[in-house]
Amino acid sequence: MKLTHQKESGTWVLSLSGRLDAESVSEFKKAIAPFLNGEAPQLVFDLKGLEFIDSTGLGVLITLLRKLESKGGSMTLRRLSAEVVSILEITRLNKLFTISKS
Amino acid sequence: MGQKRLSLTIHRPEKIYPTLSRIFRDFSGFKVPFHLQSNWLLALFEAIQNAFQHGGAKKARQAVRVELRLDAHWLQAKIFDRGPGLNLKGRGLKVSAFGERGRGLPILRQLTDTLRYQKGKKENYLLLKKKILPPEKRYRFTDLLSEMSHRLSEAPNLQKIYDLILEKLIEVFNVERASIMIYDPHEAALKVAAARGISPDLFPDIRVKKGEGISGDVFRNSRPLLVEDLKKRRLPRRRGKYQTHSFLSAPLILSPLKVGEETLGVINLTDRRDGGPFTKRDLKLLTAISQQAAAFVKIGRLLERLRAAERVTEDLAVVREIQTKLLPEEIASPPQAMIAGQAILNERGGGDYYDVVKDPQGFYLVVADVSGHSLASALTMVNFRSAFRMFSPQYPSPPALLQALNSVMFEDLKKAEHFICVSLVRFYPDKGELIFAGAGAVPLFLYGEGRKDVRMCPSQGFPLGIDPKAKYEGESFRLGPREGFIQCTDGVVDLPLKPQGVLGLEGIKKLLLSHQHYPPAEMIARLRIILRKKMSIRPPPDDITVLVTKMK
Repeated sequence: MKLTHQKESGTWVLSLSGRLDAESVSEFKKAIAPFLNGEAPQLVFDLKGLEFIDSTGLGVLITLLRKLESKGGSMTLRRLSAEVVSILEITRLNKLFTISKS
Repeated sequence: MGQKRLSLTIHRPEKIYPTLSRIFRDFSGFKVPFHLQSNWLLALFEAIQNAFQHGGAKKARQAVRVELRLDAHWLQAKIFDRGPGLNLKGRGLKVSAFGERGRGLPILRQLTDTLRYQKGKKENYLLLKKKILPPEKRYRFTDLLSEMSHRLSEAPNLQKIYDLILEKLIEVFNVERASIMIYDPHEAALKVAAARGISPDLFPDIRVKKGEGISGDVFRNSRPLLVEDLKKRRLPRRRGKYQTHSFLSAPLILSPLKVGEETLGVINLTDRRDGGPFTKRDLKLLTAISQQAAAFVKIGRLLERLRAAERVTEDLAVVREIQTKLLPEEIASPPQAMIAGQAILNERGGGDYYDVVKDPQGFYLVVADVSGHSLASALTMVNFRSAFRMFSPQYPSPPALLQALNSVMFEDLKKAEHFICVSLVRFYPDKGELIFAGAGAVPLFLYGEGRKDVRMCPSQGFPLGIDPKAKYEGESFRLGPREGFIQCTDGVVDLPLKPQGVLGLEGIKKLLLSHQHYPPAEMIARLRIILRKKMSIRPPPDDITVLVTKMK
């Protein structure tokens, strides 16, 4: 799992690549922590490089969404692969997450 | 297809993904159908992870054993554990939307047709089964076309369209080898536009003539084809000499890419991963997909042409801008004479140029024309202008200047496959003297009020860029009051006039005789009006450049 970041129009865009699964979630949680500080954090996850996500990875994204929303922030997913779209549809999480087409 | 079995043991949770990825995504003898690879990798990942978490393997540092089976109809996995057991009953699909955990089992249920946990005396196992459906049952046809349309419409170029079509065909028909061949009218042959399972080294060499071999036959007849056995099939022509079999093997199915009455190419599919035969239903589905794909290929081609045309238009705008900036904004005539010039630049852009350069001894007047109509021609003209302006003060003799220009520019002109025609005049207005030297140029026209004829002085040397050792000759003249000379490019000589024909050298002479009493600028303006009326093609096919000098 690799997480890189850049700021676009005041929003953090976090590019996630590799795998987000039971083996890498703790690393992901550490990497994401600095971006949860402050008021109403706005995060965009660019998932173009995400090869694989399992149920544990999905669970962490849900927890993250919950945290951000409780702070008045938001979370958007963009550039999802067909495989990731498929797993979100299977788990019906496509209804829960904000997914950007751009 | 016979049954394939694979047993593996995973010793640590971190080895689950690499092991499964090797089996499902990379090359292996265990050929899971393409459409099941990602989902089945996820299902097994969840199941094996579950065995480590809850099956006691993690605690007891035990490895997890997995058995895989694959046949034509089923994909099956057993994941063994020695834990206390798992109760699947009552653990359905419902999960709290915001819950972090508990999604593994619902995912497993969604991705499998059978999910059963079997408790045993020594060990337990979780059984996962997925039925492998034929393409026509796996895909709702309308959904398939809709998905293809969506993906193809976002393809940035024609090559991506070919690649996306091929990827989908490989997934739907579960084949090892596939290719899209597109007809190239210039070579009168089908060429490989995209392929999988064929060495890329072979692509550029594959040419299949219309009617040649199986692909050529399908293309010529514009009909899909199912081939059970290549050896039994009689090839239409040149049997035994047909070299393109190398990437085809039976059974195979082929379909033309057809839009309306136009056949664009052929799709070839061969080597099913399960080793089974293609069916008539496969052929029907391929035909339907091909029709959809052909429409997108056609659209992609049109878009590429449009983009190319836009690029050309942009290039031409640059050419015209360069040319215009090279021309003198204003000509400072000497007190004893009047000088005027005009270049009417063609829409395609060309390589015409004129210039008037003054030095302490006299003037250099040049009219030049670079071959070709392109950005490269304009850039060559930029180089010529720089060289001309740099060398002209050093070479007061026109033949010597032409020789120097030819020598310094020859290699570049040769590489660019350009040549330059130059009409060069050294003019001393105080004495009314001039020396003319030409490099493949239109003759110099000498005229004068009161004269009954216009004299033509031909150009003696090769254009620049033809012979590195070319020699040039100069011819001297003396002008009296109200006498002058005209330099022009071949665009003037070749100007198409009504009803049929061109202005020609004699036409220029006649016009000069009838307009010789006008000052140069007015002469050019009047000639322009007359020629515009007489021109048979508008705009003119080439640049038109004229430089007129007349003694007062």
